[in-house]
Amino acid sequence: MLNVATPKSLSDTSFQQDSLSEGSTPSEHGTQFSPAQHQAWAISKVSVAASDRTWSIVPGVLSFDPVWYPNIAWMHHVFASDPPENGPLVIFNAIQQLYCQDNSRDRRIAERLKTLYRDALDEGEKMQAASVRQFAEFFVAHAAPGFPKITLTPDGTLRVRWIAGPGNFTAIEFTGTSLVKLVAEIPRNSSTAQYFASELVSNVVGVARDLGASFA
Amino acid sequence: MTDLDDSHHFFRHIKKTWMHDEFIEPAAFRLRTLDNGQLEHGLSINWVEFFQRPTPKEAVQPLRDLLQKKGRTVGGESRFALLKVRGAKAAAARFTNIQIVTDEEPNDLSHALVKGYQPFNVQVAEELAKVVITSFAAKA
Repeated sequence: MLNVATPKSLSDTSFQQDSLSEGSTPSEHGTQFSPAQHQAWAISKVSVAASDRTWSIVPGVLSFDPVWYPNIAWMHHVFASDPPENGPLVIFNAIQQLYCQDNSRDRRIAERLKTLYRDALDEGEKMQAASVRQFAEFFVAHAAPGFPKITLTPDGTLRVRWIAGPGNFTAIEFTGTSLVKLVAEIPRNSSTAQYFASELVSNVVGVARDLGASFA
Repeated sequence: MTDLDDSHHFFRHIKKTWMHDEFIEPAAFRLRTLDNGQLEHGLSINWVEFFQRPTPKEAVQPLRDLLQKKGRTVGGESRFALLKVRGAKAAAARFTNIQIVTDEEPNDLSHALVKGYQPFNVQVAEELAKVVITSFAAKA
């Protein structure tokens, strides 16, 4: 269970994760936001400093006045009734999970994911929650690959690409299913080998490395 | 539908989410999966020479205006990727022969499609991205 409390006032913008508890519903605060608004707000406004595990609310531009700070515990209840792979909560959790890793790469990835989510909302593009979940789990499990290019596909899945040079890249698309898509181009003497494959997410790095693919 | 002349050019609108910094993800050239599980029948593009401007760059503004009139979101950080018809066909030919044809819409006579690569969606998208000549900011 996610334990997060509601700050008491606009000036009270920092609070410790350990001290947080489940709380009230928006109706008790007299404000009616849709779950999507709450989630979008939370994704864009909450950041986690992994060094001290302190949550902080970052003031920013809102399309509505935040007279009620979103209670994330309440949102968790809301989305618990939805298919879990469809909720923005999955995206929020992925960002949180990456932020909380003790390395700068994963925090950069979390920042990129947050930006991408905002951009997707702006552009009316969907972001598949199952893909985001798989993406986060992949990077948590694999510390060695460098920081890749991270984009959405037109189908809303996340795709990452490590580019070592012309004709030398590795791309993984997180389908949200057991098999991810691997595309790679690898220099072979004066030619370029090209691979299009599906592979278990647990095997994909090893398989690609065996081919000579680069994750730098 | 009429084939675009091989010497002509087309724009593909590249959304911000399909880019990372200046890098255009080749998936931007992939056919979308429709709700029925089928791939869309063609990649939506715009015929550059239709606008009759001296340079492709000068065709960006009328194209942007046109897309916005159609109700399309054209974000300031999105871009228009420029490709040549001949180059695109040659690149795709490694996997399959594609058709690049006009597909006029009532409110968009420059609309065109890249067709015929459903079986090689990922592969052709990778190849098309390699022959992008340049790209222009959607909003200067």
